[in-house]
Amino acid sequence: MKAVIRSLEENPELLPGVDKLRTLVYPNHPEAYDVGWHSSVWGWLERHPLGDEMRRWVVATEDGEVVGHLAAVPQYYRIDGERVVAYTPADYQALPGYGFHAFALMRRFFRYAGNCVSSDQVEEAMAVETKLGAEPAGKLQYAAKVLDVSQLPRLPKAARPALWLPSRALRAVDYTLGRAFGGDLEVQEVGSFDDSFDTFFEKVAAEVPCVPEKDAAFLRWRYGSGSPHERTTVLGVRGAEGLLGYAVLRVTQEGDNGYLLDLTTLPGRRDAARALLREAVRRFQGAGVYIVRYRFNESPTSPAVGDLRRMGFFFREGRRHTLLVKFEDRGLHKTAHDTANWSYSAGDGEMSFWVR
Amino acid sequence: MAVNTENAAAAVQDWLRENVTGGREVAEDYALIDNGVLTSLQTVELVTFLEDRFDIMVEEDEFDEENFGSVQAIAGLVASKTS
Repeated sequence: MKAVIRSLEENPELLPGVDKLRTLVYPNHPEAYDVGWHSSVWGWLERHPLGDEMRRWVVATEDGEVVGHLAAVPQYYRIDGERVVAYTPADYQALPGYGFHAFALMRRFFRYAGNCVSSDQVEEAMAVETKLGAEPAGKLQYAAKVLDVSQLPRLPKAARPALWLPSRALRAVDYTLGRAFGGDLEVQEVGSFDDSFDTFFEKVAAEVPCVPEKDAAFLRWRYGSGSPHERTTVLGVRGAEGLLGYAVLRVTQEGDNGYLLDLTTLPGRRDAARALLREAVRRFQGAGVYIVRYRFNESPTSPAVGDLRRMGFFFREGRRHTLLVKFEDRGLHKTAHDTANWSYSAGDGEMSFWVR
Repeated sequence: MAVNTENAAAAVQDWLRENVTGGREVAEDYALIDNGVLTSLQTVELVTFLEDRFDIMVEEDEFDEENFGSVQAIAGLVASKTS
């Protein structure tokens, strides 16, 4: 059936069609049916300082059925010391049989968005993005740590009591590892993202060529009131020179998964990263999650992969996200086209916005 | 050089031979998509090629199986944009 791309902003009557499309594309995902939750996330995205520049497009048939959707979500980045706006393609969906329109949607995205930063693991979506000019900068790390083996999914219920003891042993090992691992730095819960986060960010941006602009204002929007992740725990480490690093911890609504959304330190402060990591694991244990998940790019502002391994994290090769970039300015593109230049955590961008 | 359906079709045939069919020519009315010759991903590459070669802009709404279903249809689209 003939279908055309239409702006969702100019055709708000198509919004219920987007909600229906989501259930058709993800019929087995309970959250796909939660219209209120998705609506709240889009409302939050509109409240970003660049919210007026966000765009959403749909593919609609002559009968008004929505068969495709794509959004362009803007964000500030600091590349080579320059503040630039780049867009992330978000909530990309199309029904089978509308492959051409799916490409047309992405073309519309790239015509609108001169600069693009995307983190994806769906091969088909990445193939479209790269055909249209984005280039893979590299893969992000995906580290995970099991805290309670008795709660692993797909484990027969009968086996769970028997695994209670190994889980206690795991906890004892973590305790011992943590004591030896964290050093003397004191980690405290942070009540708000105050001005010290601005100073901290500028120190990071002065040394790291590519970083999402995570100043205090951004962090208040990202994890503050109305955000899908307003119920997070923020940890901080301070020293004589001010804030040395922070971590953002999220326990999913179901209470079983822990996400380390962000862990950023001043460049080279591996001791701060270790202390935050140790305390993050301890907090997640206290929250009762069975697994901690952490997606990030290894950089001078992140924990070292070796330190994560020492803390009992394992690395999932098959589930890694790829960072794709496209900048109109060739100089900026060249810098951004290498993950060695990036400080990036899952919480920094769209890839984590849909974590409940 | 003026663009007409003939030289547009020749350019499409050249591109298909080089990128898709392994040197084989296809009939101008052969159903490229229905017969699996051209995937939607390859069509993106073809569109990019046509835009560069003929200095045209294919609009998103023209990006469908009707306009890209055969060499004839593609050539017709290109010619209509350059006339």
